[in-house]
Amino acid sequence: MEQGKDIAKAYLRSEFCLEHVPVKSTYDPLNEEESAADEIASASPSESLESNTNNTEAYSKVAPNDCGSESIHRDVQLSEEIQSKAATNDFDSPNDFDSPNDFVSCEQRMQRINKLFNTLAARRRVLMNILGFLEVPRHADLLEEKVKELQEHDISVYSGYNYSVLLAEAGAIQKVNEDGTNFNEHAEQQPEIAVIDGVSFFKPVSGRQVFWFITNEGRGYLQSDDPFSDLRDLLAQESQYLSVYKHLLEICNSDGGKSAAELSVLIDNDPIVQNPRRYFSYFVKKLETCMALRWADRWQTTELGCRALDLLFDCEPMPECELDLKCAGGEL
Amino acid sequence: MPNLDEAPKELEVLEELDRLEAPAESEGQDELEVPDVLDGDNEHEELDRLDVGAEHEELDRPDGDDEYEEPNGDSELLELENILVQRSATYALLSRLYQKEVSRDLLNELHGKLYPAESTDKDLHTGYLYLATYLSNLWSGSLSESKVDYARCFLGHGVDGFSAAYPFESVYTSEKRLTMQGARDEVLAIYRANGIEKLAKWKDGEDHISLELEFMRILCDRAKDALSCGDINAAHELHLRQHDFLNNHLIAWVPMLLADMKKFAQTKLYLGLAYLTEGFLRTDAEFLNDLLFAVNES
Repeated sequence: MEQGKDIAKAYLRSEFCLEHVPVKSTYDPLNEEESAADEIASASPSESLESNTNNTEAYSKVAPNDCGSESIHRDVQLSEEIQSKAATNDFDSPNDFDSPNDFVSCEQRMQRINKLFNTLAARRRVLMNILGFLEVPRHADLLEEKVKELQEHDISVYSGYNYSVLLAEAGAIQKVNEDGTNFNEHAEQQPEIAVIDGVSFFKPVSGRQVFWFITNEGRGYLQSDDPFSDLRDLLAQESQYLSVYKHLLEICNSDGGKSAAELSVLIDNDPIVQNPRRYFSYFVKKLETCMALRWADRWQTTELGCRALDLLFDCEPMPECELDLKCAGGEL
Repeated sequence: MPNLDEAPKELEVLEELDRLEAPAESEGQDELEVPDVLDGDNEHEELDRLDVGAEHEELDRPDGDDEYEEPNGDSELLELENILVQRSATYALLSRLYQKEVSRDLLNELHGKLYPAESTDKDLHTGYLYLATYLSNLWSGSLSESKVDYARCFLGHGVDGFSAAYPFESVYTSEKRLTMQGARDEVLAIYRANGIEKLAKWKDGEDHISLELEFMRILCDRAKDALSCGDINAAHELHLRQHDFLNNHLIAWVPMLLADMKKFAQTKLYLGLAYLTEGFLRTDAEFLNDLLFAVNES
């Protein structure tokens, strides 16, 4: 056993020593409540973001957001200018092609985004709101909170992380640094070396700050989305139910909304919906898809729904030019 | 620091039927004492053991034991006990990481620790470096990423038997890569021979790597307790058992598992775990060889 004791000494600081030194990390990457992103989100755009803002304004001029167009298809059609920009790789925004989607063309990215939104049609509202939320760089923690808020009354197995991964794979968003520059996945932070009693140890450092930011393609898709036109098309296609839609929007716009049971009583007995037989859920679903109704513990009319009440349900048809002017000024 | 005896041990899946006495090998279960389930409640249970110089319990002096010697406070024996404590802690950590996905608390705990940077073993050095690097790049999505990687690594999504690094000895030692084969029966017999049973909450086979590592941890703890009592013979016997189990079981199949892990793992957490396990098992086998060889020579 004597030799054993000598061996023990040799192994005293051997490889399987995991020593605990009560080093308190000042930064807890998993539990930090406030982050620098809050300052970014609340403060005025910094210089590094101003270029993004300018590009957004320039981009909006070419976005296919034309209220006077005859029909808006779900498949996004890029304007000629965007297509030429994509071909020449001539984009001013800093989120150029440095992401894992670099080798994928702009059109392919748009196809991926389309496919994602078609596949997750039931989560479209959340996805579009995420894209809108990420028009400025947002910390990953803030995105998690935003998704929780969006899904407060709409439980889903998808978390903010899941959505961010799906959108990033589709090329709609990408990781950036705090200053808006591209996030280098391969540039990992290395642990520090701590020397204790002459023995070196790896000491993990504070984690990386990850921000999400919309890509040009994501912004294009966001701006191509025109739920007001979708609603107008719906009313044009189902003109026989115009009064039902109007009634639904009106009753959901009062008293904080209506429950499903109340809507059933108010809508299901309407003579118009007896043949063919339609129930309130059919109309609610259509309006929800067009973002005119939302569920927040009760069915409520959104701002877009209120605008539609003012503009689309008038007794006399409004001239299209006037309608376009009113469309341009509204928000979802 | 929580009292180890009072807090329930949620994450231990092996139940020691007779903790303090050296179990007889060929005795049937009828002769074993009433189970003394170790209680513990949280993941910090194992990690608390990582404290250097953590105080161990003073065990009661067995009655009527003529061979018992008073602990003589020999510093070298204490150093050996220290090493056993640290080996036990390492086995506990490895066992936990294989058992299931990491949790937020565990990641936080790991983030606050130091990892040796001067390992002479290349795999150990790589394992510690990867682990420390992973912990240096944590963000809010790290928890989800690690869970996804755990599923990718150990659960897979195929039916061909080669879609993941399945952490069961039977898979790597049976002809058709099935679970619950001969290897499971062997380790089950070994556990029972040592007075150990799996807890009811563990629904998989006993040849899961997590259980085998936990078994080594239990033997380390017993050896440490035996040394504390001054029972050198019992400690030697327990070291022999560790040596046999390590060489006949763990080292026989774990390298193949680790090779698969390196193919499937995409985060440095599980890549580092693969290297760490490989290096640690190798150095531990060398330690036990040297210890037992030196004892035999003396």
